[in-house]
Amino acid sequence: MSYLEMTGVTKTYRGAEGPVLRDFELSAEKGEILVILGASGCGKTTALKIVSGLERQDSGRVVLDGGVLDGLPPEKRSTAMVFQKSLLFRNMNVEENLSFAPRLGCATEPGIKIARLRRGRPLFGGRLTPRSELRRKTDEMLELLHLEGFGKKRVTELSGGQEQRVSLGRALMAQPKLLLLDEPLSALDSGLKWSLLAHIKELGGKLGATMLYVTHDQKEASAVADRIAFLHNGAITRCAAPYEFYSRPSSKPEADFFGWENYIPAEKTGARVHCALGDFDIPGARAASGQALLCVRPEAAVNIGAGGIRGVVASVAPQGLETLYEVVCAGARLKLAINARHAFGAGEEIAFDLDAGMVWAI
Amino acid sequence: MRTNKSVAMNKRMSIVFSFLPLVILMAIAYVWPVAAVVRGSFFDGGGRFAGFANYADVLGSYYFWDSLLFTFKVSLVSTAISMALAVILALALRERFAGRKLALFISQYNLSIPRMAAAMMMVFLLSQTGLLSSIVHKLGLTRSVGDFPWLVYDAKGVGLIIVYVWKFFPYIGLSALGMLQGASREYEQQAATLGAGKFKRFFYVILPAVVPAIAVSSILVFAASFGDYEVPAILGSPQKRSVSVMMYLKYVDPDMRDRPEAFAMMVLISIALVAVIVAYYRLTSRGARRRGL
Repeated sequence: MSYLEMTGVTKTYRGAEGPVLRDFELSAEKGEILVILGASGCGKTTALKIVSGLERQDSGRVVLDGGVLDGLPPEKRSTAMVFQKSLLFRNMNVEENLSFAPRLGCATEPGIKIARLRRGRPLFGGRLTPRSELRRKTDEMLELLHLEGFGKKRVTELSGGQEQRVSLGRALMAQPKLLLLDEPLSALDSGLKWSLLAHIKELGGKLGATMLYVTHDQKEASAVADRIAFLHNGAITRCAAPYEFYSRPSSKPEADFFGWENYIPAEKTGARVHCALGDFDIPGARAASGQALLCVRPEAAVNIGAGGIRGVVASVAPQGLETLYEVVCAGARLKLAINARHAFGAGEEIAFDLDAGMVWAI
Repeated sequence: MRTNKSVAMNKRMSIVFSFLPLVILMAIAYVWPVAAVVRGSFFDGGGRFAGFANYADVLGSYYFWDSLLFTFKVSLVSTAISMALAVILALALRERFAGRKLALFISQYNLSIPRMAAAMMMVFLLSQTGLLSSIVHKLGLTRSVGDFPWLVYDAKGVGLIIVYVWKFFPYIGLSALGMLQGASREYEQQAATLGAGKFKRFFYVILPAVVPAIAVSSILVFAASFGDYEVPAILGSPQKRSVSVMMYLKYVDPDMRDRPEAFAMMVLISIALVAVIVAYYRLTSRGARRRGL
């Protein structure tokens, strides 16, 4: 059995036309960063909320580390969640936010439950841990977050990226069995996002944390994930390493999501795919013999000006280093991104080949 | 040609003139009476300048201190109970339930009932000849209506506290509700996923969120009950008078010699209340600065 198992989970919101999750199945291993990827509104956050206990599923089971979570309130699940907004407690400084869980005796693991009151007893339960221990843990976390010297700062003095780092650290300080991240970087600008993604990956590795990460951004997912679970129409359609999705999509929605733009009707016989552009050998393609779709990535065009496939440029859209061409060849319309040093005008003939690694059949 | 400077000057003058009627009205309706009271507190009943003699008399009077302490206790207890009930009301009203709109309407409607009417209602309800006493008697819990405890006209101010709490807790509750309906639920969810149970969420997340709203309205409630005349005039005990009633009785006493003392009392109470409000605002603005609001 996997560390996290979600089996047959179904959820329908009151007043909704259909279920947001149907027969949802997911499993994650300990120490893994698993990303649930899907379009907005496909049920990613609902899945996360069901694991955290903020939503209750209509049917199905959630098991974490061998324990059934169904029916448990969020505070008893040993999961911690980082939301899209940092949701730092404004009446507390950075240090107090970070130590929220252990200070209140909420941390999962024994050994860092810290006394809140000077008299040495946490309010409403929790075990006593020396203040020095709390201080040490908080300082360590500040260092891990690259926020040394920020402990006494008010949270309103932090930038967006710093806020989200504190939010992540606060969740990690709760020592959860599973860390849930609900599009935690979507409100940040691009540069900050990439540096934080690297940071999350690094933290996950250092602390051996198991993370369930939700996003609608395939690049973000690929940057952070050990595996990606693709969610479409309320169910996980595939769970695999990021590269698999880029190079070998299993369905059109998946291919769409990972940047495949050209689909040409084809006939498949074994590993051979025949279509208007010619014949292609695609070993390992999942599609069975018979009717298929040849998928071509926009970046697939090579041997520009000297290739064996010929077409006519229908439209030109310069995009900096690349130019996006719409090319009509043998009745098919292809969108191709070609290095800007090759310049073609609308109506001109263009010759090219297709890179075998960027062609796939479904 | 009109310069920019003259245009700006004209604009400024037009603003001054548009506010002038209000300023005049305030001067007539507020500043002048206050000034008259302050002036009156420095003269004796015969119109002779008395310096601080009236203040010395008031501050040396056992009855004044006794009345002040009584009024303070009643206001403090009323405010404290109102605050506690307000939090419960706000927490209840933010949930969806059948009859929520009605509960919300009653809470708002309560504010519009005049205090005098509220006091009269409590007489009908809580006095020994009131509705509650009759019910208790009919249920056989008391041998006669006279056995029913004195909840109004009592020296402990129970009736006053009941009226103030009844009248004011929805007001504080509605202020807190505004805060709770904001971002508070997200923060509660965040705290829950960090392992905080119901009580911890209440004390570390909900309470800090509603305290600013509750604090603002509760100080106003404290000031309103402290300076109130109508309710203690109707429900108060002859043995324990509130400061407002005491001031009024001194003011209307046929013996005009007591009137300057009433003025001195008014000034002292006003200064005390203003001091409380200023201290409170300084505290809350410091708190708000700490929270970065």
